[in-house]
Amino acid sequence: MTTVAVLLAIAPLGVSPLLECLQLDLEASGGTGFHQQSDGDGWTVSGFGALGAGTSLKACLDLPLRVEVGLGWDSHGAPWGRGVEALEVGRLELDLTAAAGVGLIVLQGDNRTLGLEALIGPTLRMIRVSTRVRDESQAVYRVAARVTAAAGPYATFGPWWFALRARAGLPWDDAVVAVLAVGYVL
Amino acid sequence: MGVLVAYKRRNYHDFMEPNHHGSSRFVARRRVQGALLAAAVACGCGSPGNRVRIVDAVDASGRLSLKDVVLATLEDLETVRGDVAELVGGATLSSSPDFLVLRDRGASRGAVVRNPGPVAARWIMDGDVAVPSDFDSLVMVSAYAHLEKAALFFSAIGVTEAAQQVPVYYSPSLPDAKTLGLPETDNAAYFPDADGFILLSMEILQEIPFGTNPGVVAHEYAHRVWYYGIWDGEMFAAINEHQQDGWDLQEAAAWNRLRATDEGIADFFAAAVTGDPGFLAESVPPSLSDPRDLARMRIMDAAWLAGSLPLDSRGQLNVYAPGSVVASTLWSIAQVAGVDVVARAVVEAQRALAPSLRASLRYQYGELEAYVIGRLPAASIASACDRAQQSYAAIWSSFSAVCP
Repeated sequence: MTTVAVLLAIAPLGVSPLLECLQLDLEASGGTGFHQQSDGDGWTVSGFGALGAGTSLKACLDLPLRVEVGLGWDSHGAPWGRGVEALEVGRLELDLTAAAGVGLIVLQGDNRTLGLEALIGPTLRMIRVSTRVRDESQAVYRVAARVTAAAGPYATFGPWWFALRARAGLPWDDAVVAVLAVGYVL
Repeated sequence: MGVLVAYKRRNYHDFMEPNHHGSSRFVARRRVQGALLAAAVACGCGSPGNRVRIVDAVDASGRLSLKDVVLATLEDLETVRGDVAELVGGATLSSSPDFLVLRDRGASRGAVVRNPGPVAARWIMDGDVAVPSDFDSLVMVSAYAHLEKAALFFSAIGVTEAAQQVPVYYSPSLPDAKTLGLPETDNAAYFPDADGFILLSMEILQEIPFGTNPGVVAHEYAHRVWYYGIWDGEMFAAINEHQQDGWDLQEAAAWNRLRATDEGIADFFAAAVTGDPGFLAESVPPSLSDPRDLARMRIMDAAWLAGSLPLDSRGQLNVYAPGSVVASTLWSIAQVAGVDVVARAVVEAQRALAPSLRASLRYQYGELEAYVIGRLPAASIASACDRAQQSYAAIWSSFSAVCP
């Protein structure tokens, strides 16, 4: 949604210049999630992965803006059940995230940059909770919206860029995800 | 494998060492508190009312499955806290085998429980029903529901302590478990040292977890009712008084009979609350549940009455063997006199026996049961005596005052 809004905003500039100035990139990210345990006994660690696309608007608008969309999965919400043989609960979560924010260049060299960025935007979380009691199973589906924020350093090397981010739901959703993202500018 | 052990570490040998020291509040409401609302917004899960999906009996047979219930006393779903209980996570329980340092009615809780913290149950909404979305959340919310049911049951038969909020230590650490003779996993208990309940993680048993079994939870709740009934909430004080001169054999024997009776009474109340005399079968294999099935008539072994102690396969005191006689006898009587009538009589019997136990730690099998029969309506006494006589033939003279 955010991407569409930005594209519409700059559309009057014309399609051709738009395509020329947009620096579209594809990105893959992986990381580790730290989740507060529901039993109150500290935190658990999970794996996180996501695929997405983004663009920098610096060339178009001369502003240090970045927009991203992505689809992510955290193993904390695993599709397989957890529990004992007679009783299991499984939770699958997929996050569709759109985010926009600023990226500030701290150091700039020949074909490489080092900077800091902060992104914020809506996340559509698709949840499936399945509960099995012996041979009887039930599943509940729900889509929920929330706000997600991410921040951290990034670096670019030619067409490649790398970012290390801490990501969390706002105001607080009992989890922090540390993400290493790798992107390639098309 | 010990299951449903309330005072497991208070074994016979502890007391044989000469120098061993050794409501009206139940008002239905749908309160969405600020913290709850914030949490719901944060997780995008919606705002719950008091309708939750738990593991509960879904038919008359006692079969457990998923069921939507309304928790009338629940105040905060995230921390699983309400009028009857508060779930506590991350705690370390480190008690003492020395009764002299323990105080009653939870006064030692601060010393016994370290690092208590709130739990953080997760759920998603299915219409207006909050569905726990992970295993621990389902167990915790189910346990609260079963505690509420037990509390309402006991409140209705005059147990005033049922209006109190009791801590439930969920999956606590027990670093001194071996020293204290407590299990580390696969158990549930009433823990008088902290006047709270313990729900341990299920590592060995793979059946329905104890926290989601309404009968098991009611069983543990009944142990607390016993503590406040027969000990008048002063168990440690009473024991310490009798320990002044050291334990004699009669006191040790009485203690073991009381433990066995406590277990039997707890099983009876579990069946009374749930209506299921075989409530344990959902959570443990038949080798453990069959000996405690209340629907089967059992006989008090004459050897136990003479002082010979029943032992389990590991050579430890098996309080469940005589306890199962107590339970099945009361259940049998309840089938003719009414479950609520017998339940109320049991509570009254506990209170009636409390002063004599405080004065002199003496107890014989059948004392409480005879008192219960004496409190029944006249029309039920003859039938109750017939049923009791089948199980207590070896000590039938103890019933002479109520069973002519």
